[in-house]
Amino acid sequence: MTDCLFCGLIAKKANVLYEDERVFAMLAPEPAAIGHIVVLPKQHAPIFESVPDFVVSDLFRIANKASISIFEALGAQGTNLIVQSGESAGQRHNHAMVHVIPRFENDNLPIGWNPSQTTPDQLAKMESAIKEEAKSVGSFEKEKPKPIEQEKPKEVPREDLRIKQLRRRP
Amino acid sequence: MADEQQCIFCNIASGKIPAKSVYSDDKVNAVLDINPASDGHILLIPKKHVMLMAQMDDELASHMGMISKQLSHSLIRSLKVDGVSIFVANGPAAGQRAPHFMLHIIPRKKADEIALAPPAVKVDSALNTAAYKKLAVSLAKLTGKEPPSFDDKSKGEEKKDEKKSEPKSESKQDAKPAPKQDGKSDKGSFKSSLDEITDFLMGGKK
Repeated sequence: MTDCLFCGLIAKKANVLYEDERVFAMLAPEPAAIGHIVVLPKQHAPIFESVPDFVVSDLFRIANKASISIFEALGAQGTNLIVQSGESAGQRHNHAMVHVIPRFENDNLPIGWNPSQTTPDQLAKMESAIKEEAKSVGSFEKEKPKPIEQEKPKEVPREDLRIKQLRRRP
Repeated sequence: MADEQQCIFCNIASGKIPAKSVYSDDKVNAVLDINPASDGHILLIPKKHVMLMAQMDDELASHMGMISKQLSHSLIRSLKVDGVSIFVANGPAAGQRAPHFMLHIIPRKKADEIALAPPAVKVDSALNTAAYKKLAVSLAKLTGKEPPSFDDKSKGEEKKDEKKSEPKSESKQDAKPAPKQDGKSDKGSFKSSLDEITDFLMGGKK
């Protein structure tokens, strides 16, 4: 996709920190802090839920390493990992990504929420609603193996179908 | 270990303390938060006692990611919400309160007053560039890859060899709390702020 800002940045290798076949990590173009990293799938996906499981697996593996490097290289006192799905979650770009943000005491980043009170009835209602939809959770899609070129015979000597028919036993 | 027997979240993850579980397998338990940010707020808790994400191996980190994606999908379908936030806090400075790692999966609605969007902050570009180089070297080491080539390549190479010659890091060092002596750490070579944070989380529990 050429009209996606992040596909463009990936193609340009802008501020690349890590790259492999499926995953790209870069310094965030709109940082919340010095050393803010974003980890993205190379294949364009508009939201996190549309990224294939095996790519999500790589995204989190690399996001964890990005978080460790923020501790080790920058001496951060904490990190936040944030994935935003949908506009109401604050997603502003049409390319799924994992934010890894360095945190320090008293950095005053406005990240968090006020916990609310709930009732046992409400929890039970949520449990049954979500559980029903979560039945398929836990089985992961794997990458389709690439066709092996060499084993594909290019020209198969074709037997005459009519003879084959004759040989078939009833 | 004694730590794990006392840890509330180990007991929630294993089912010893009852909770509303929406998914569970041999590695994780996903339960509803009793003080949610919004209705349907899920805590994805690893069964293994880890305090920080950094203490997870690749397999567990990947597993947590894939399960959180699928649970997020389940929330969108079951609660008909139009957004989901996935959130991790590593360390008290990032908002972590419990001495057991967990990942939050939070259903979102417009104007719900949950602040989980990275704010845009004006950062010093020279400092950000310096951070970039350090991160690239560190991340390359962690992933076993070559670091990307920098514009001034020689400088980057120098830093890799002798990390001590960084005058700027001194002020930061001073600001850090002194490492606790009582907290035993058997990973002596793994020298970073991670150890201090682990100590802090342990101390908070005792």
